[in-house]
Amino acid sequence: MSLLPKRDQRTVCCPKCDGSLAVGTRAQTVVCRHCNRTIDVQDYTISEYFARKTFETAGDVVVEKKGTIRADVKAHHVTVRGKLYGRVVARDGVELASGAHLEGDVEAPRLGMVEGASYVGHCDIRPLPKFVVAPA
Amino acid sequence: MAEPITGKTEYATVIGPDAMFKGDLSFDSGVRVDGKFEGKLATKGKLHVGKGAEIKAEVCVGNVTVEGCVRGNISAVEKCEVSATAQIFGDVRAPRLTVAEGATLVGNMNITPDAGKDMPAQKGMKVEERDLAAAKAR
Repeated sequence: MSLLPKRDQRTVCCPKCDGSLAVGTRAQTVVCRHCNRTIDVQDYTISEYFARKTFETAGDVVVEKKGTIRADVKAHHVTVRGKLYGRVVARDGVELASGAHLEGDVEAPRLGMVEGASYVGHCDIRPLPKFVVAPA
Repeated sequence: MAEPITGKTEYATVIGPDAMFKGDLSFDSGVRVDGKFEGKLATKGKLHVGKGAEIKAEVCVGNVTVEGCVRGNISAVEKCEVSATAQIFGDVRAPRLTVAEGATLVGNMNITPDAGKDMPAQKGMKVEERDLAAAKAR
């Protein structure tokens, strides 16, 4: 049981085992109580060039207009306003704003795309039971 | 006796919800499909796939709005609009795509400003029409 008051808590999903966890709103990393692995729970805003092999967080990722990510991204929600090159797996959804460019495969239950966004890759967008949050 | 159709509708051709069509269809203006369709569909104009419609076809159109289910590849010269109730299983190639949350999309996407060039639906167009479509896509 968490000792934190409910207003200081948020629920995140472990990107490694899909188990749900209650974490503090200001927490940066936590150890998953289902798989015992350390997971990043921060939200990221990328406004410059960022390259990494994999980029995994239980929080949200926002790629700003001037930002570029070259990485395989796994996150809760991904918003792209700039450029993203790599595979994207999002638990909640992927949003492509006008002027965004995404190259890579996308796997998410929801995809929001507006006019002016460009996208090349294979996508698998369907509200599947595999995305249902595992019971705590 | 059936009532005569009065007033202009957006679509000159409508495949109703109780209709099923197998084969190749090509049109100059808009088509609305509310029933079942299997084969090939080509139009320079607009295609509207209504809610509850099922299409198993290679679709080459100017504009397409999907509310129902499409199994097959879609090529749009100008724009592809996918609503929340839509289900697409196939590749999509268009210069512009809008996707509403809740839609199902499985396939390869090529959504770039150049994607509308050299499409079969464009071949039937006059040079001026083609240039206009390309300018719109840009």
